[in-house]
Amino acid sequence: MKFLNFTTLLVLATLSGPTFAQQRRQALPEIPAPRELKEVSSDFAEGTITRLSDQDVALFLPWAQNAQSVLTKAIRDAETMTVQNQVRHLTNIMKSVVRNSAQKNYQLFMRFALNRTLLLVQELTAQSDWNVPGTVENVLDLQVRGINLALEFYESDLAYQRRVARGQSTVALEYARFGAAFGKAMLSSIQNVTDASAQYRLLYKTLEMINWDFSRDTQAIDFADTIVEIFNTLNTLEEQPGNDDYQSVLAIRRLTVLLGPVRTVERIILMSNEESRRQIEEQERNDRMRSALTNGIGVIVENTFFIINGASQAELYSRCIAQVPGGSIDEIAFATGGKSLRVMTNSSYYWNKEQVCQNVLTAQTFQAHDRPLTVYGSVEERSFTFSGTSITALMYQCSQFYTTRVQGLSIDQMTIGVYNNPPVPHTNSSYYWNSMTATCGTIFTRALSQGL
Amino acid sequence: MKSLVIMFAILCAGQTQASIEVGTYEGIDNNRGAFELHVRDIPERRGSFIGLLVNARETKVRAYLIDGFSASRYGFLSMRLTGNYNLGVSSTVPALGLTVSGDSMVLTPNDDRNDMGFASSITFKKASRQTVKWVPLIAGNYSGRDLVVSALDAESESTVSSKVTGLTGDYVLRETRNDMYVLLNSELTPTGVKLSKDATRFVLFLAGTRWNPARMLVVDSATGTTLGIKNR
Repeated sequence: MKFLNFTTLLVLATLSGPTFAQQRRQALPEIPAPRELKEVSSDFAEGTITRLSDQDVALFLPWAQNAQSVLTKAIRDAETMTVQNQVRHLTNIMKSVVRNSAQKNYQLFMRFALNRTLLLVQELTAQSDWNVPGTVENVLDLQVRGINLALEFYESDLAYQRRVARGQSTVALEYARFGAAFGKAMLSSIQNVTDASAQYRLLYKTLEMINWDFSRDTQAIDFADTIVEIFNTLNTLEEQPGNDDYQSVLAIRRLTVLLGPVRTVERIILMSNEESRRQIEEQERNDRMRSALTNGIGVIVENTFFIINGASQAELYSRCIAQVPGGSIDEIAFATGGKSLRVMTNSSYYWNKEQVCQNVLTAQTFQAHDRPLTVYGSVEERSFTFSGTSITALMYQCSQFYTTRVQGLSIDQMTIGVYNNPPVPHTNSSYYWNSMTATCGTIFTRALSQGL
Repeated sequence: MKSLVIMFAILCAGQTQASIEVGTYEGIDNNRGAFELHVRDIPERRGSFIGLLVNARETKVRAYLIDGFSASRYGFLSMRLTGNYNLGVSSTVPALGLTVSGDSMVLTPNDDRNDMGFASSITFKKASRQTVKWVPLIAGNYSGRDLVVSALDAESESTVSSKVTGLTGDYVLRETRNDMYVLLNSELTPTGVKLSKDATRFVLFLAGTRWNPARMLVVDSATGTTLGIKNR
């Protein structure tokens, strides 16, 4: 099926899942190719040949391998040049690599990335003043991102061409995957541009290019909403910026609204691939953990550590109740903000779960601390270093240290240091610090008194 | 008719303009903390500004791209170092919103994810506006002679040689926005001097007064925490 030319596609029911939703399937308009990429006479024409003969592959492979090594070397060589010279050097290299492949006219994402970056650089330099501080840096950023993207797609181009050469007629180019990656790289770079005309033009061209990619992908119907939304927005705007900067800024905001849907497409594409889906899920787990360590309340109840996070007191309370372990509780330690800790012991009776959580939720303020907090030292000669932006993060590390290194020891000797200050010895001559609460609570209470 | 026109002209002249103007403003937040807002225009983005929000002790500085959202409302987009020497916008969602009305301007948090360190609203009196104190690079000696800043060269770069705690070594300042300088580590390699592309700090200069010398503020891009070094 040729997605570039289809005019209508079936309207199907909305599909949704717990982690991401495919978009509503709807009729797609014909998305035209950006003029600069389509016209054969254009310096930026992308070509139309998607299949290579054995002979072509024999020519393609050396080009791709050469391009990869030339680009990698260009980035390395540029490191010791002045910024202006870096830009000139990378422009020359990119042009030379693209020129060497031009007559072959094959559709290769590696070449797309370089070609389109050169187009954006041309637009940026045409619209903005080279002498304004920041313009050269904007160009360099686009170039470096473009080259990195070209290198990223080197392997997939090779794999694709090999499969085509083996006669696999069902091989489809993953236009949307490339478009989403190109959009991600370039749109965040375009945010750096302050020149209103240049920023508008770059956003417009980039969205136009990636929408064309989305529309000709075999999965296009899965992100029909985004394609239609981008198409409609671009249709209501002029290709070129006007003279009124304020109006350009208003239009820029209309275009930046589209970044959300573009990210959704990227997610749909990535989630459809098993390996990238696993990576995303792992990343999201890590992000949740990092956020919890920064913004959550770290709690130690006897020998159990947990973090509670929530948008309201009620939510925090219910999550706290769910995590407090059973048993006799007369010791708790908890973070009370970015850099504060409270240790509570009850010498009269045991707390129930509700009382523990009421104590924990009293007077909480959640905020990360500005600079990393660092506590180091030793417990019974087992050394530790805890570092993070909140007491919660440090408590988590302490809980791991306690469980794996010192639980079960009779602890009455510690040394505790903060930042680069020398460690201070601490001895308990009355009793043992024989729980996680007592050990970690003592470490942080004393660290705070030592200037943490 | 003539008198009506004159009256209208007088009324218009008497009205306070409901837009932000270039200058330095003094403000106070809900906890009675004092702040300064330095506003500079952007010639290539007329109607927009770059703003610096600085607390009274100059220990915290945040930079923003200020775009107009309506005649009297502005969005403050956080600016950070984003790689390849760029000092750009890190999110398309404004971190703060500024409403101009009458003789005051009120800055309020806009984004729930605002980690700017200025959580409460800050009111600036328009009458406090004065010549902008945020100035171009001031070459010379700082902190006695512990830190020396050279004049900008043709590449818009200056060298910094420093023995100041927290900023020891040789650096290069590169102007990547008008009067905003990225602080780059310079490393000697077999093929030449390599400037780090992933800077974490940028530098600003504030004009001195009769009682207070000019200052060089070294700002941590991620946290806004600042090292202030005096020009004397």
